[in-house]
Amino acid sequence: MTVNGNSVQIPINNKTHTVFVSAGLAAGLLLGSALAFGQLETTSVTHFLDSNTDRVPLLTTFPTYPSIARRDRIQGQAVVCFMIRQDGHISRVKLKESTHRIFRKPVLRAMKRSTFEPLAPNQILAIGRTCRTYRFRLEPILVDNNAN
Amino acid sequence: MGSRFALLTVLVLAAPLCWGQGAERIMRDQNATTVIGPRNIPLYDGAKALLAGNDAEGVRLTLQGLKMALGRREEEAALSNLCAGYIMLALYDNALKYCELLIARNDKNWRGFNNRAVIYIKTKQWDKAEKDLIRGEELHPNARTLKIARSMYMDAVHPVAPEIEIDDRQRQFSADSDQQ
Repeated sequence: MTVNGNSVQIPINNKTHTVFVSAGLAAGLLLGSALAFGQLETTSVTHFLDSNTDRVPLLTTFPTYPSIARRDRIQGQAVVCFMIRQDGHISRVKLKESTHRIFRKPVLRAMKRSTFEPLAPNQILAIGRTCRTYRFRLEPILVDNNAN
Repeated sequence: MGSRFALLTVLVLAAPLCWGQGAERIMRDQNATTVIGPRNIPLYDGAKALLAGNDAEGVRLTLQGLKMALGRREEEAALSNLCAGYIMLALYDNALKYCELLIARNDKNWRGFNNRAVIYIKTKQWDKAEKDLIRGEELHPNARTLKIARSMYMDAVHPVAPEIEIDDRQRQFSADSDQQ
C-alpha cells in the first residue's frame, strides 16, 4: 500500500495547514515530519501508518503539545478509538486510555478533525473500528549553560 | 516572559490595596468624612501603571508610594512591585536590591524569592535561581507564578523540544478494541 496523495494537517499559529506527503512511502514507515510554529519552539510531528488496513488517512490533524504539559515537563500518550465511516469521516470517538488527563482534549479535538479516504460505493468495509495512539514526548536539547 | 511573570506578582499584591483605594475614592467622591482602607495612592497608581505596562511610570509612582508607606504590608507590596517593575525595565541590579530588601524584611515572602529567581535566570546565575525556586516552592508549592519561573529556569538549563507521534499501527492493541 502506498500513501500517494495523503496529506498531513498541522497546526501553525492556531490554524491548520495541510502538508502533502510524497508518494511511494510504504505503510508503517515514517510518513512525514513537519514543524508546527504555534508554540514557542518547533514541535516535530511524525505519523506512522498501519499496513494491515485499507483505510488510508486523508487528513491527519496533529494535536498541539499542551503548553502546561510542556511547562511542567509532562510526557505520555493517549489512545483514541473511533469508527471510520464509508465516506471517510469518523464517528464514535472515545478516549481508550491516557497517561495524563491533560492530553485528553487535544487528542480528541485532533481526532475529530481527521478524516480517511472514502471507500468506493461497491467496496466492502474491511474494518470499521480502529484506534490511534498519540505520543507526547519532550526530547532534551543540548545547550551550553556555562556562558555566564 | 519575565515581564508577564512580574506583572502577575504586581497584580496579586496590589489587589487588596486597589480595593481599599477604590472604597476610599468612592467615599471621597460622595463627600464622606470616613476613609476606609489604605491611603497610599501613589502605591495604588504605581501598581495600576505596572499592570498597564507603563513600567517607568509605575516604578516612579511606586517609589513615591514606598516613601509614604505605612505598615509592613504596604512596604512589602511596594518593595515587591519595585522589584517586579525593575525586572520589566530589565534593570536587574535595581530589581535585585528591592527583592533583597523584601526578603530581608520577610523571609517567608515567596513572591520575593520568585522574583529574585527570575532576576537570577535573566542574569544566568543558575545555581542561585535554583535555590530561590526551591525556597519559593517550599513556601507556596502550587503557586502558578513559581511554576512559570521554574519553567523559565528549566527551559534555560534543561531545554526540551516537543515531539508528537501519531501511530496508526494496530498490532499494539488487543482484540477488545473492536468491541468498544
